[in-house]
Amino acid sequence: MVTIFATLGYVPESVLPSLRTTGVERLVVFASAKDPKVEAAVRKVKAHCEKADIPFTRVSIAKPYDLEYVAEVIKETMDHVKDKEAIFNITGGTKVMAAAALIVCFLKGVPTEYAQERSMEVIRLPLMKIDVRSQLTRRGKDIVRFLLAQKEQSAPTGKIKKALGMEKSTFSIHLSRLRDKGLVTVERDPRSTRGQVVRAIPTLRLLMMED
Amino acid sequence: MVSIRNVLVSTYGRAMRKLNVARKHLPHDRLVLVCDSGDQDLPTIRQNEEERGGEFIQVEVDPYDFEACLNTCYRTLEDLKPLTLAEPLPGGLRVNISCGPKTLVGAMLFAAMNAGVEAYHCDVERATGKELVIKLPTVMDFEIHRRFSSDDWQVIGHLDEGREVRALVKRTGFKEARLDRVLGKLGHEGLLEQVMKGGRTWVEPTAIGRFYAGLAPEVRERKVNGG
Repeated sequence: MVTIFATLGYVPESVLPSLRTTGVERLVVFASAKDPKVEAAVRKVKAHCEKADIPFTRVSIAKPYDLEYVAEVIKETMDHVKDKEAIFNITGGTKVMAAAALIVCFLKGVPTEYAQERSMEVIRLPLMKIDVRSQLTRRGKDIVRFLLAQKEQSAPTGKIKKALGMEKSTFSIHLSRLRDKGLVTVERDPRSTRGQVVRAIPTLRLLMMED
Repeated sequence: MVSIRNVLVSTYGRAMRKLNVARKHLPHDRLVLVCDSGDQDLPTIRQNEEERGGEFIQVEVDPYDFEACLNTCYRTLEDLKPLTLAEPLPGGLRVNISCGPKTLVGAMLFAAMNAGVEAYHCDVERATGKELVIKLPTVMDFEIHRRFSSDDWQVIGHLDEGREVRALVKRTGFKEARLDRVLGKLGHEGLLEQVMKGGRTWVEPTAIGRFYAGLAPEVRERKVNGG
């Protein structure tokens, strides 16, 4: 049995080809909130599911142009059906929604598919999995986890070193590796004349997602 | 002659408005568009780029052929990397994935993630008309040879075509249990499928498997050279 996830925009037909997959257990649709054309598409897809006796769930996307937000919503929803077989149809919705879905699927190792605009023929994209965590050292991961646990995902260098019990030189090496990877930024600390603040990039939590 | 420091690679397909957001906000001396050859906007884009003193290159691909897209996108990024790393003034290589069919977009995003290149999605918000430049989460110095273990790469090198498991045992020199472990892992990551043919188990590579198999020789070379 397979759960179909799909981003949905104005075209209900973009989702329907995925329902022809054998053994569909449920359809979960991610659709923008408060857009009448999207609501109409959701109603059509829901009616189709009722006819075909397929349980239907709609997840509202309040900010369809906010990649980080959309990806978090998709990830959390997919976590609920963790051990089941899943396919994600990325045809509908805004490109930001599709990009967010693709990124979550790459990190989770969930196959995606795309229904061609004219023919609605489904192209199954091969499973593609990327594990970013394997690219980090143990100490690098410690720094990242520490930052993600902070309120604004940032902390002064001194505070991180102290909390993790790291020597200055060791800390510098691991910090510069994280900076080279583009995962953190280092800025001057406005509250101190010589200090620096390390800040996680906004999408770091997403990259570090646990299965 | 134009001095190239910043390169913008973008997917394309009838989305001039989105491309214009990327061109405006992502600095570039060279614009490389990966798209179908027949796109009618290409002459205008070329003219615009040349008028502002930049270079324009088009890389042709069938945007609905996922495997072709993946190979073309990855090769394009790898070929351009050294250009932007030239000293003494290193520039930047950036990717925009906001235009074209989602098959091409998916392939470019996956290629950027594997090549360790910054990727962006540029768009115009429907309701407000606000221009959006969204940095996507890619790891900039992602090293392809570290993507898999040595054992994995050794098997991946033989995924250019379908092979019987027994043939893989011979080719890799692995014991069956060791090979099974690697095949299980690579299967889980979508590189291959194991199928029964005439009572024997065969390993069939997927499009992703063939993509990585194509990279295996250069990964071996990098490892030999201490990369």
